[in-house]
Amino acid sequence: MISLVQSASSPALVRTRNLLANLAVVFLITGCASTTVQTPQPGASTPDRRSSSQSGRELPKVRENEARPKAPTIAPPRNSGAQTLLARADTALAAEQPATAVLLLERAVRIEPREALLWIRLSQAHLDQGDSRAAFQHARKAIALAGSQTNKRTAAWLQLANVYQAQGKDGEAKQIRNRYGRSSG
Amino acid sequence: MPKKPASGRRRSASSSKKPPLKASWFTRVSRWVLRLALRITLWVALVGVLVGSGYLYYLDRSISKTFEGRRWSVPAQVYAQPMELYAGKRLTNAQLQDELLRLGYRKTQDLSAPGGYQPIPGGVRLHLRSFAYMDAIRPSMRITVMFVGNRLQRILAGNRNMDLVRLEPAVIGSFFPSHGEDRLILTPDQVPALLAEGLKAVEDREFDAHKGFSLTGIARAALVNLRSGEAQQGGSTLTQQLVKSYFLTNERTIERKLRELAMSIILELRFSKEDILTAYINEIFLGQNGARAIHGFGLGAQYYFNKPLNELPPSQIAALISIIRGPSYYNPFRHPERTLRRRNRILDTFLADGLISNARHQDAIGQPLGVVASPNSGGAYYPAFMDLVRAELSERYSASDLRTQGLRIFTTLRPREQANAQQAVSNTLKAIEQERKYEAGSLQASTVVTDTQTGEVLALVGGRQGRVDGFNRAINARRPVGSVIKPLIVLSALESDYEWSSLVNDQAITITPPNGEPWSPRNYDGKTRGAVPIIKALALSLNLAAVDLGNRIGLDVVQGRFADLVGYTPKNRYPSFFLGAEPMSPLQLAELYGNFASGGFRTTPKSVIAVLDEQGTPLSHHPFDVTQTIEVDTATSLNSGLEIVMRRGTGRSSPFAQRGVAGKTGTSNDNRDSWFAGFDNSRLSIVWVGRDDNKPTGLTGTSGALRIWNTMTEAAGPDPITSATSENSIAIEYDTGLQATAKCADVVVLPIRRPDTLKPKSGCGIKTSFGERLRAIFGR
Repeated sequence: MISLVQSASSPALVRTRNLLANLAVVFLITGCASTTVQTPQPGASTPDRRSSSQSGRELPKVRENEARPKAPTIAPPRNSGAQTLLARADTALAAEQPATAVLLLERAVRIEPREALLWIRLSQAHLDQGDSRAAFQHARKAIALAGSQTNKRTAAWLQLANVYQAQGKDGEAKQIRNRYGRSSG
Repeated sequence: MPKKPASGRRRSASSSKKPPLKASWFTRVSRWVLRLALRITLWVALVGVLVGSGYLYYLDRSISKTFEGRRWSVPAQVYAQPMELYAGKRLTNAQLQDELLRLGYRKTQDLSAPGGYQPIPGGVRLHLRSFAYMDAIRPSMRITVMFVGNRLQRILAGNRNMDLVRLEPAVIGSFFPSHGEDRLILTPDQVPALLAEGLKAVEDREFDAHKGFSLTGIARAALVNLRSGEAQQGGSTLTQQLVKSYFLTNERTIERKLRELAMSIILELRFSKEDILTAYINEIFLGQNGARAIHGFGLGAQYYFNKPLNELPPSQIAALISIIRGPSYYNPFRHPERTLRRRNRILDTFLADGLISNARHQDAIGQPLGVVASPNSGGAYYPAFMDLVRAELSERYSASDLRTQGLRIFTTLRPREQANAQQAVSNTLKAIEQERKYEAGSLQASTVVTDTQTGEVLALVGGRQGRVDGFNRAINARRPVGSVIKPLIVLSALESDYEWSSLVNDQAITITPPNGEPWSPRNYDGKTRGAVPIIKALALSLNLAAVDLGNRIGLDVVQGRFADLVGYTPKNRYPSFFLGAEPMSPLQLAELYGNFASGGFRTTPKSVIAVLDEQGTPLSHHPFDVTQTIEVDTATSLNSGLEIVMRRGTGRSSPFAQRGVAGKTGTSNDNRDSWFAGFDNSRLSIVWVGRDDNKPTGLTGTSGALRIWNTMTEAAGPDPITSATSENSIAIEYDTGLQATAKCADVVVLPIRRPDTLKPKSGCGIKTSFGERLRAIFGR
């Protein structure tokens, strides 16, 4: 049961996200090199039981040379109803209203339950609310549903990287970004 | 001389003393009696006043508490999922109109008021009612919805294209959390004037003037009844009827009448006429549907006419008023002609009192009674689903939270799915009973339908009579699940070193567990098949092969996975668990299969989306709760196997067997329970068929539960599974598990994690893999 009263940390989260996005632009422009590390296997989706016990409002930590790669171009939901709701949810997320975004996105999922993009955004909305456990599971769900749709799969993994980073698991986040950041260009 | 005066005094004294002596005795006794009588009277009066005051105080407390408790408490309203309309939606014009009728919309040429619709070529115009959803308020509005074929083409509001419009959700129940009764409460301003005035005209002409009782009313009623020879009018005022309704007793004694009278006077002294009339309208008993009592005109309008009260025409208001006098005697379903006659007399009264014009009277008299087709078709009432809502609410909220006034509860129910599921259960059971010449009504069934990705319960059927409160088999009946459990063993095997092609032994076995009796399971057909690949063992539901595989993996491992997937440990700690000797409810089984249908995520079935308070402020939202429990590839592989069960195995008789659906049948010992668990891309359905007395039914999972699932899937339309094709999907021979091709063998295509371990079928021209050659050399 999650209270709809928005987390007090939401503005801070959004500010952090904006900062990360700006850093991403710098990252992409400068073509900052990154160290090669062992890449997690996309198919290796063993549940992270440690994460299920974690909750709370961990903030993504901003570090030098660690920025979010640019998200790939992703096909929107096939369904016009889900598209409309996704657009409204994006507006709500931008307006720091993650609770509203969750309601809109879940409504969209009821229309198009297997659309990975909606689950990616749901993960983002939960992360903005400070619920990293739900954010983690929704990102895993998005990865499972993306299947062989490369761009959606990449976006879902990058969302999982965001969750890891918010949980303080910088190593895991970096590994994913190294793998999927490159493929997204 | 001096004596005289003395004697005179004495005489006078004695003469004056004598009569007083006589008077004194009499007077004293009289006075004593009088005083005693006075004292007794005073004491009796005092005690009488004290007792009377105490009794009046008791009556006052009793009636005021009841009145205020009901009058000022607003029941929780429970809503289904609203239908979303958007361009491209798979929906026909007829289906939309069905949905509108379900929501109580009426077909009309006049769309000036909300709640009406008008079919037009290629679409429908409608005037939506306003509604406060959990995320927004939508005012009433007129829209036009156009269709092309079986899809919604566009939605117009005037000339403007609308991207997305929600219909309002159906009210599927309302209850007072404090006492659980069902009501649709109206405020004074929601009461139609004709109903208020009509009630007074018919039931209590002096309502506005009397103080709780009316002697002239009693006299008039007696006269009218005497003249007509039947009980046309009652002598009780509306206030007295309300008091009677609160305490629901048919005791006919002077004491009860006096108590009712005293309480009526107290109510009149304490509350306004408007409050009393509104309470009456919300309280009065209007009928009985099974265990459900229909109280109040709000619920009565929904039950008898499937409409909100404010949309009833005069003829239907009069019909509802006619029922008050005797909900059984004037039952519109059982005695339509009798009710129609009384309705017309009431319409005459409306006219005589100037409540309706001549024209409206003429029109109303010409109308049929207009009640819905049967007691079970009016309004939306889903007691089985409501049980789940109540259970979830009591799990999540404290009793004091639930007593919050006017909660609005948004749920996951989809009325169309529910109607399909209920109809499939009722019709299929009837057909099976007729075909097999079973006693009518001897079979029972239940189903749970969930969304595969979110776990939301879309429909829940607790028995063959959907709209009647009763034992809820979907939630409360725990029966042995039989072979429906077998995919759990296969999952555990796939998570170990086993492949679909791995061979297991389908041969007789006797197991003697520590401190247990020897157990010798058998296959359903009594035969044994020797070495068979896992896929064939699952598809044909071979018991001996399942026990062999389970033993190889270990009961602890399989039961550990069970606990991971459903959140509790199984009761049966013996190997008979491998054959489903484990009682589960359909709802629990839906949770187990949700892990498979969702592609590896545990999604506990849930019915409540959000709860709002009376002001519309969200108290809580219950977001999707998904937890990954199975690796994606393993879940995909298992589902591929369950598709083969449908294509080749015990599910092959289904008309949808070849259309991308997955499932597993189950039959418990002596054919007592018939199970089917099946899913496609969108819906997971669990179906149970059996008897309440637990006697054998003669049905297998295939001949019982699967048939209900077929009918449900036919109505909903199958949505084929679109799992990503595994890079490792390989053709293997169905009988042997050897790698083969369709040209040389009867094959099934399934994901194999380590293709190099496969042995090729000779004569198929398949080269032995390098790994296999190495293994042949080194003997591994």
